[in-house]
Amino acid sequence: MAGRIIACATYVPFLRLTRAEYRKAWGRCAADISEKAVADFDEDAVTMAVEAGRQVLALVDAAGVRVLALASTTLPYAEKMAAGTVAAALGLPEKVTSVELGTSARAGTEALLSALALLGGEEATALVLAADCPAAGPGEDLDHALGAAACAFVLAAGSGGVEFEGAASRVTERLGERFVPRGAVRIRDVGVRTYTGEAYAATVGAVVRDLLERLGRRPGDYRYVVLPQFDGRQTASLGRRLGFTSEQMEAGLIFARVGDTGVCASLLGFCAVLEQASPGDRILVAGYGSGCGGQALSFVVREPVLRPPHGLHYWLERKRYIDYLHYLKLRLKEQLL
Amino acid sequence: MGAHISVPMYQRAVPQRYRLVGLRCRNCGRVNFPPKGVCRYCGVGADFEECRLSGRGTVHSWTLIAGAGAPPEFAAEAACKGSYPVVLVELDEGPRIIAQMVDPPEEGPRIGMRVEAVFRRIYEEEGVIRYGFKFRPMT
Repeated sequence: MAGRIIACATYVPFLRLTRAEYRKAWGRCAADISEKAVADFDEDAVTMAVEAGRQVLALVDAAGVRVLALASTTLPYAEKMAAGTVAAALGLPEKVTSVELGTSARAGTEALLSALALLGGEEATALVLAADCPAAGPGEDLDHALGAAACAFVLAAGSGGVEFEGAASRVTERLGERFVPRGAVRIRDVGVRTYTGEAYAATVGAVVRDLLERLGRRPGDYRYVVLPQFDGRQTASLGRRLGFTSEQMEAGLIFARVGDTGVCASLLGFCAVLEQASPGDRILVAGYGSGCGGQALSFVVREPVLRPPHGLHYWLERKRYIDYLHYLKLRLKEQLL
Repeated sequence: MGAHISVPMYQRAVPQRYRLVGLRCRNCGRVNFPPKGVCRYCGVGADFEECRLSGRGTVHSWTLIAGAGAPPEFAAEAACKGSYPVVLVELDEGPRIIAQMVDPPEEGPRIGMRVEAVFRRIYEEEGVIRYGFKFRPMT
């Protein structure tokens, strides 16, 4: 399965909630964020995906898109194609082959792999959109980390750009870790952090080692490493244990400024890295889904990606702080409607 | 009671509401948005070609919807945001259209301010989410 990334873009909503607001409201903040991005009243995974998609389609021709892979755990309808809404908003050809992924946060890397596979060797492009705004009950510790963001990638067959080198994947049974029962909209878990943290570290650790072994690489061969970020300390600690340095990790660490962005939990950091990577750099990006499974992908930069005028830094700096009461009203939106 | 727009009516307007598809009059060359049967500018042209608008424009006028001033389909949004600006925008292609402004600056909109269209949820009715465009300040 060959292929390459030729363009990427990001979107982060305007609203931010700080750690200090949690401390004022609840006496503490259970997540190691400094602030997190919050989707506005009229935003959802579909609108955010369109925001990121429009930016990359200003760089490549929408008429040439043959594959659309959409990843999100928070699509607005439990049943109804969201890819159609996105395709209509972006002006994609109706003949596009579309897939929608989203029963776990791993859907982000799943979408990249699916798009590469669906593209095959065809002389066309694939659009990968990942967007998420996960929510938990406002009284739950889980809620403190949950943010919102979107990313878009344009993939093409052949060589050049940011070439895909290979992937490793694992899946296994893990009960009670981050789930949304059918019919519900809010994330739950059994509330034992050491248990869920151990599942994350064991699974992501295993796929990263699988990938290194398959490609005959060592940790030092990578200029950048982006591990999925549902918690800042957990990600940093796993990176160290796998033998990666903070120099390899830091460019892709976005968590403290946006929070846990679900399917974008590693792809947003991946975009940050792609924006600054130089020819010759190798990039390792991993995904994780609760319940649970991991994926690790390897890329080598041949040419820098096409980038829209506004990079991730712009979106991170463009913001308005809201207080906890405003946030609570947004979280309880369904009751207001 | 708000202005009810049936699902089939909304469905027909998807190209214009989702991606600002307008009609360029083959007689006078001006862009009609929303699309018309007869050109609103020359009054005779009925032969059009579709064109996608840039979504960029300038605030011509604006107002603030606050408290109980919002129509029922926007009441929850007004309750949540406190108030929201509505702008009359002159698009770069000529037409003037009305829509909400999102992410407004602290000091509110300004006449002459450059804005761009963004894709947002407008409201929800019969369980059906109505998506469309709003405007955001350009930077």
